[in-house]
Amino acid sequence: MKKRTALGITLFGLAVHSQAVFAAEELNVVCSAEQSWCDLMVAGFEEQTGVEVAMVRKSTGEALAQVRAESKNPKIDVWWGGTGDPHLIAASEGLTQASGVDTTDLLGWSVNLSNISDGKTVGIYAGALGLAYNSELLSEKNMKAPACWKDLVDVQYAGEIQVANPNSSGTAYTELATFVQLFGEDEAFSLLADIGKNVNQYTKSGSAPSKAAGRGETAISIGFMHDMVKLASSGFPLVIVAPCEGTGYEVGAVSIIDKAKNLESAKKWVQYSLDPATQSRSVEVGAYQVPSNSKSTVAPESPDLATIKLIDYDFATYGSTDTRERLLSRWDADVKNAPKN
Amino acid sequence: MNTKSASVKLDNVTKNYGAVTAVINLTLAIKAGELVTLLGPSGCGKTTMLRMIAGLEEVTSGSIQFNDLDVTDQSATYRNVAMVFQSYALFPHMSVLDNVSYGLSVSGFEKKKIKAKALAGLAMVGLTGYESRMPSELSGGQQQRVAVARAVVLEPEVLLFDEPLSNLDAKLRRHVREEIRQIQQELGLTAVYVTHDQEEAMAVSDKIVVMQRGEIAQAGSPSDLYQSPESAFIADFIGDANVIPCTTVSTDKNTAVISVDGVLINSTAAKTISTPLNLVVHPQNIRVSNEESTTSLAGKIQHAAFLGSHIEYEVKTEVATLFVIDNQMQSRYQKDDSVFAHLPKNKTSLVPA
Amino acid sequence: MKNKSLLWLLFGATGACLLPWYALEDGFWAFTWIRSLSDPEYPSALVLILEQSHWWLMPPLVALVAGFIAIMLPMGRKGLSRMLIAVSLLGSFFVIVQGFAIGLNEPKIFLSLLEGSSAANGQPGLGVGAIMLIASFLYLLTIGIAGLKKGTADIFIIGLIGTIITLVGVFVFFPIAHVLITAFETADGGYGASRFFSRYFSGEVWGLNCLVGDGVCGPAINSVFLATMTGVGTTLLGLTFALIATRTRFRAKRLLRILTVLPIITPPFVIGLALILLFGRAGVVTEWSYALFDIEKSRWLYGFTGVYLSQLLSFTPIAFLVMIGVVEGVSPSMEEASQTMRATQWQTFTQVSLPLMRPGLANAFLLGFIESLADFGNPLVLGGDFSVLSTEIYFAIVGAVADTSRAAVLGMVLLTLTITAFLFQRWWLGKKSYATVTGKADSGQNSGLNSGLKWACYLVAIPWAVFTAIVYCMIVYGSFVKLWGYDNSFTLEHYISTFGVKTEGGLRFVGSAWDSYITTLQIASIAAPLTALLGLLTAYVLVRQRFAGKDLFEFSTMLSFAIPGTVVGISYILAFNVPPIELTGTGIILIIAFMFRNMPVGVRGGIAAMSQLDKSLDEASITLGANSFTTLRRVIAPLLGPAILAALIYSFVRAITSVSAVIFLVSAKHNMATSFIVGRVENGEFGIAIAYSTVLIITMLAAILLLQLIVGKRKLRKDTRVQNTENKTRLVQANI
Repeated sequence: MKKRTALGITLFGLAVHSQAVFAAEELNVVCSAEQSWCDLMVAGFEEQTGVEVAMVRKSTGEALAQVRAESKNPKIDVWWGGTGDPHLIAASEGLTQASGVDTTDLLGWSVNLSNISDGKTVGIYAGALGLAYNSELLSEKNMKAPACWKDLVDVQYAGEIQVANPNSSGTAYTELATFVQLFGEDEAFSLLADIGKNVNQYTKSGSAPSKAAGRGETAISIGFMHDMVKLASSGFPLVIVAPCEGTGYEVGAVSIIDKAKNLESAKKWVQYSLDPATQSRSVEVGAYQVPSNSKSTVAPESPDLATIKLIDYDFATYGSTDTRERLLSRWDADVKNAPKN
Repeated sequence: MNTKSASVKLDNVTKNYGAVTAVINLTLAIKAGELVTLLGPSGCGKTTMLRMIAGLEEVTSGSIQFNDLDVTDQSATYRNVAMVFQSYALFPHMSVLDNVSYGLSVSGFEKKKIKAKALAGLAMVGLTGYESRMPSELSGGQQQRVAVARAVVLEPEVLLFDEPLSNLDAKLRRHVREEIRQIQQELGLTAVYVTHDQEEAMAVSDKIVVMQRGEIAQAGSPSDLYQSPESAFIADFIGDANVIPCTTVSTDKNTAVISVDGVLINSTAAKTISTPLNLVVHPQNIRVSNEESTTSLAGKIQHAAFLGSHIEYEVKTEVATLFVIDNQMQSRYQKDDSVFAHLPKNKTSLVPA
Repeated sequence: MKNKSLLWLLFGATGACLLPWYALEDGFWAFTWIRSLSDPEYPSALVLILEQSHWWLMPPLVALVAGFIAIMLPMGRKGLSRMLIAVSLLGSFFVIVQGFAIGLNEPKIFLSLLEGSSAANGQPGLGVGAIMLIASFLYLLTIGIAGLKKGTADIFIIGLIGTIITLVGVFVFFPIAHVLITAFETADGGYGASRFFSRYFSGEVWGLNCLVGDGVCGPAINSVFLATMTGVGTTLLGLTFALIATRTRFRAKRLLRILTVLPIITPPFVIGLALILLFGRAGVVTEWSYALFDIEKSRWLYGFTGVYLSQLLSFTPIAFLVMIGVVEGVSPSMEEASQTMRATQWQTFTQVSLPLMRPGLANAFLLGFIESLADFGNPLVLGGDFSVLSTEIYFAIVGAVADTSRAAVLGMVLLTLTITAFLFQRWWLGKKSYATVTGKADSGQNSGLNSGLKWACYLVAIPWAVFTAIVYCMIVYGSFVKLWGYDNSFTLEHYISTFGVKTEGGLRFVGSAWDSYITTLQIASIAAPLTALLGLLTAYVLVRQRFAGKDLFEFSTMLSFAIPGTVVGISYILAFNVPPIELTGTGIILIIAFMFRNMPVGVRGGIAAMSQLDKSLDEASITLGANSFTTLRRVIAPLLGPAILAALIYSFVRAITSVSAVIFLVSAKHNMATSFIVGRVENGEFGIAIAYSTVLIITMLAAILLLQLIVGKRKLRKDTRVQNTENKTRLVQANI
């Protein structure tokens, strides 16, 4: 009798113990895309792999700040989503590690990102920079629709253009770098200063101008086209313009944090996020970015990167800290406080 | 007699607040069951002294003993004292009964006993039936009695009163002070009582300690202080005595002949007869009349007040303005009348000037 | 004394010998360590020394044993006290040194000493056993200090002061030190002062170009201007509401109270968004005034005006909560005294009541000022090009050029401003006594307001209340429309996607917000009572006790409030990510951050309320044989009803609505509601953000009502009696 009780207790103890060991497969994700997209990714990943995922959404800046602060003892395993620059910075600071994922099916801009960073970050989606205008407001004010970057200099748009501040927004920095690559540095800054005469506010956040344009707070916004598509498809009177001179783009990325505690699961996540089946689902939550896997299906509403005149964006140069600091301090001097029309 | 009452001994107690010295080297012994009053003008250190006995202030140097037990390093919580505050300090959120029960319940009595004791305490101060009232629903006198009951039910070794009557009207004051005295005597409590009112002090005390600038000016029974003051300050402070400059004419063992502006009178000899001297005469011992005598000083009525039971005069003479109380009320003088003030042949005392 | 020492020694011994020394992966509350006390996975210090040769844990245990020996020895009080102090100082020193010396993965200092030992693999952060040992040393220290002092020294009070100092030291100074060190970082990663000073005094920060010339002012100047305006504005509005609530017979008082409390329970960004929808260029009011009066649609809202408006809306309730306690606390007899001296109601108010409310006014202003300085949600949404320090700091950390050092310097600027405001307040209040609730029961009536003042109050308060009401209607309305500001057709979609439940196969919470909602409520309900307790105990110590270094102590408790949430968040990550104290990724770090960020409000409120309680009440209790703890519990705490309520409500609500500190501290497992909402706002999903906010607002309202029921009102006078002027007049007429 006694023996049996003892045996029972031992078995129970073993069961509890083993449970504790096997339930341990988990993954901590910081997600810099939209909440609903993050939720979708987590649900799909959990279903497919059985790994328990804890996810928190943070903007790219916040995520980078946290990864930096936690570098000695990271609590996050994977950083998914968000524009590629901060991912590249994290890679160059040694905050992330190579995932060793297979990139054969990926599109060129995605592989490019991986190559620049020694495989520490991989592109998962791309989105082009563009213009949007509020069609109702524009007709009410009898303004012509802009078609090119240079049109924005026109005095008729005085106080009607909104764009983010590149010091705080990655979107706006992409715009700044695009201008420099399109027009050359000196002309770019004089153009930006001229457009600046019509700018009513340099917002902190990159997606704010398009939202303001959607609600009619401003007539014209500069930002990422997929954000505009999402606003337009949810009903706002936004018309999206791919500027005639050509435009730059961002690449959303995924990175595994250096010293990640759940490295295997993290690798699974990277694999999962590049899978065509996964990428094709993004449209379910209104993410109109172009997926990086060539086999993924692209939503019809997505801006077709083939028809847009895309520049050959130099992520290595314009993502480097030196170039960045130089361009931003020049922006502060030449553009920020330019007189208004 | 309450067996719990303790004797209190203060030994060379000094209290400094930074550079200010509130009490200087004070030594005092209080017998068990005695009511001692600390009397003095404001700022004399009497309240500080009381708070040191309570344990609310630390002594800077010296020691305090209850029943020969040194309590100097004990805080108020652990000293077996209770205090009645000038502001009563009734807890506004507790009923009368809860206020009275408070000390008992924090001392860990059982519930039944607490209630019985608290009710007995309230009965003692005549507040039976007021248990469930809030303090704000009581008159000043009633609040005062609750405060007394709250302190007394603890049967403290030492009961302390900090100007307990100063917020009451005159009539009530007389009444409550008698009650306090009665309760104290009935229970045989050792009590220390602070007041600045000499009449109150005389009425309740076994012993009065008059303090001046942090030191004891004189201590003794009320009659001692009244009849043989040791200084002009005491004479003035206790009983509003006239203090008249004088010179010694001759002395023998027990008496002295004194000259006040030429008027010779006998007086009990002071311990040290020195000059200059002051003669202490209580106001009711001076007589005012139209006739001159060997002990009279000529003067003029400066102020006269009819107070029903007696008349008060101020008579200006060559040596001093005399304060006179006429209990006989046989004649009435008006302001500016010329009169003679007759000094008594005895009932006077001498203090150094 | 020996008994108390023995108790704490045993407590420490339990921690050292029985409980796990290191922090646990699952967290303490998983209680896995209970079923496996002997399990080598969760070893105590004793087991570590004996079995895993962690010899560096010996010295603290030796100190503990020395403590036991000390109380066995026949020694005088002074001698034992000195022994205890020595033992506890040495013991805690050894614990701290070993904690910093051996990091997570390798030794950090004393490398040669530790080389080759079992320390080479590092060690995790301190766990429950270590914390118990440190606590035992702390209280042995305070017992020792109390033993050395004579007279009224009270072990409870000294222990309390010791606890607060230790907690503030660990959770305020230690993390802040990390950030300050960062402020002195030079460009090449070294440390130096020259860059710090040039950045600190730079024209970019302090520029006055908006006053002279046509440029913009520096963020420091903008912040000071905004904060001063907000401080003055909220104090006046708060006073107005407090007067109406306590001194008039205004009928809709309850409604007014709810309206004044609403903004405090509103998650960030929401007020700003509502203002945009009302007054923005495409806002309702703007459209109407364009249609009706042909007023040009402009962007006036973006900039100082909008931020000021939203800050007034947001922070008036805090001023109200401070003011109402103070206005209620003014003793009626003072006002009656004034009236009997032939003062009119107006003269009574301006010359008696108002000066007596000075501590309240000063505290309300200080809170408004500091809140405005640290506020980050409103300037973010409505600031336009009006830049203030808090947003500058945030973007210095998360912006395209992440520069923690610059953020730290700006944080220092902000800190300087707060300290200045704090000192100014001290100077203005001076050393006057404002005690009006004495032990002498007060049965008078508070003076009513004269009709001019009453109507002035109504004129200010009612439109403001209506305005607030409209803003909130907009918020609720916004949660039920498809596309706020564009497609106004009715929908329940936002609620379903956030708080949907499915009943098939048992109740399932499928909405996306449930996780963060439940975490938020859990953390807020743990943090609130702890915060209130800590704040009020600190206030008690500050008001009622005299001790050396009190001013410094008071200042240090205010410090965490003065530092912007963003900086707090970063500093907590820097300080508590690695052993000896490893808290990141847990819910505890959120609770602690809330406690020390919101404690100052409890402290200020407690100080204001307690300085109105006459000291003779404490003394009466003490002479009646109660100790300080009983006095605090039975006399002071019940009389602080409103202050306790305010502190509880405030800390609960702040834990739910604060965002700036939280952004960096939320983890995958412990996500907070605000961080979820901010994400939605960023993505333009206003409907969902607003729907979630509405649910939070309702939750908090319910919680506040519940708290009000539990804590109750302070019963000083049987009921609040306000003189009714009309009644009096009628009586006078009847007499004639």
